[in-house]
Amino acid sequence: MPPEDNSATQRAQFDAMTAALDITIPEVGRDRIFEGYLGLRAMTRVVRRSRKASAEPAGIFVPDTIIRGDA
Amino acid sequence: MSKAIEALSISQLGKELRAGALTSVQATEHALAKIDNLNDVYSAFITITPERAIVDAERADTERANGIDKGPMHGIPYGLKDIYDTAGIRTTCHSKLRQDVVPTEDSVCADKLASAGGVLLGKLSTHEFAFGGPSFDLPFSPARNPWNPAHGPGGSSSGSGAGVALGMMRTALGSDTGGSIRGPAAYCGIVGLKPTYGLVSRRGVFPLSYTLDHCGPLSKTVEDCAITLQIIAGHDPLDPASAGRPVPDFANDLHAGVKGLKVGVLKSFYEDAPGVSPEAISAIDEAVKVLADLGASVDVVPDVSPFALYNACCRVILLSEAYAIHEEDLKTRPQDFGQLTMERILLGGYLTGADLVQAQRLRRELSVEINKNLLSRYDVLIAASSLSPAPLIDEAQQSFPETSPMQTTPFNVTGNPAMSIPIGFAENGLPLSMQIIGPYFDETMVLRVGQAYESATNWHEQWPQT
Repeated sequence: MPPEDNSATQRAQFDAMTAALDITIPEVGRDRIFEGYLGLRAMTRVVRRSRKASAEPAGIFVPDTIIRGDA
Repeated sequence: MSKAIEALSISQLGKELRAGALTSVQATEHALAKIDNLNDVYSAFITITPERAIVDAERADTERANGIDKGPMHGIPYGLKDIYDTAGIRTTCHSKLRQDVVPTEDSVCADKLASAGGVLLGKLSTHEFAFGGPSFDLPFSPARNPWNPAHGPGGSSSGSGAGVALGMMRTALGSDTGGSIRGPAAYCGIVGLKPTYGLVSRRGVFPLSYTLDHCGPLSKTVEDCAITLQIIAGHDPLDPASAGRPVPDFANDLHAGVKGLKVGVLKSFYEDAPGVSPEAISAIDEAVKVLADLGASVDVVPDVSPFALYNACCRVILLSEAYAIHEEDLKTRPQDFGQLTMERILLGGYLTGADLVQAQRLRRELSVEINKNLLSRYDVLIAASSLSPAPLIDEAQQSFPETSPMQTTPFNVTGNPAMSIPIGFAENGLPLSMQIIGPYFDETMVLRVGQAYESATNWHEQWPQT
């Protein structure tokens, strides 16, 4: 897992992504959203696991295909 | 009739109606008077529909007088979270963006309840778009906790939870994307069931996250919950996620007890979780002991992935999908969202396609863990619903809280049926709760275990002092 970037870099990435979103964010909420962004980036690291590309045939979610006790 | 009308279960009220001891109009007028008396304080309803309710009730009474019996909901009052489309009645999503939207068609669930002879009392408060709240910068007040109005009722089906707990109705519909049925049920001391993904149609219900959204009931008791689910369950070919399978009789095994059942407790999810209250842990310990005393075989599950993994998976998927749904409004009229909703949904815009795909890959693995690894060994799993009693309603909200006061997200990820039931009260008088989780499409088992616990305790007979 890569080390955390320093906060200045992360803030710059956040500002660039915000500009790309083309959404007007009020200044008053910007810091709160940046805090949320940091938390969310941490979660995106959590959902990544070491797998090979062929580890599963497809990432399709179909509950009917997941039966308890099935091999 | 010796009991107050709100103390009658749906089946008891039905018996009174069939016996002619009570009319649906009388029951409805009682409910409307209670709403009139309490709604200013608790804000459970956004829109009250007294004219529609009386018309529904009069029709039910006339039909019954003519020998027509439409089943257990015939003439029974209920409410709908205000994200369920209702023909001719505004459906606001508790938002300025939709405060004047009047649908022309009923959602599938609204249609099914109406066809079953139910009496619609009105539309219930929610966190804005079933996500951001409680908030005070919206066109409607947030609902409040029936046990102490200084506290929140949970969300997002906040009015459904508050209204049922206050005795305004025995049952209401909510929606659950990360815990929005089970959370209010937990904080309000009632029963809330998130069914299996695909059991209940979402058509006509405003989406928050397409692959995590579930519709279901919040009810005073397990039996009330089973009756409501029976009405709304079933295949809908126009909801792509709807399962094409027969609907069982959910009341079939309701009183079969738990003797011989295997119960696995997901203690590692909650015992060391940030913010967990010792009262919540000891209440679950006591509740599990009740199940063991009733003859269930109870084990602590030793080998399950951390709650944080399930929670991260849910949050990444939810925010990606919610952002996609609201992207246009976020770009064109961001000022019309409540501040908290806007901040929360906007975060989805910072996720990449790869983030979402990685979360979906993980989702399947976690679903396998719960279903193949655990529910092959246990009939049901037990987990916390909330880690503590309801917080103060004006407690500061974060756009992206690092920790969650609820432990409900794992079963939105896996799609399993999960029900929150009341298991006691904290020292401050607020309800405590736990979840019962079952195999896919085995709501019957979840309800059976819930009923066994409920029959052995009296939490469901408690009412808030108002």
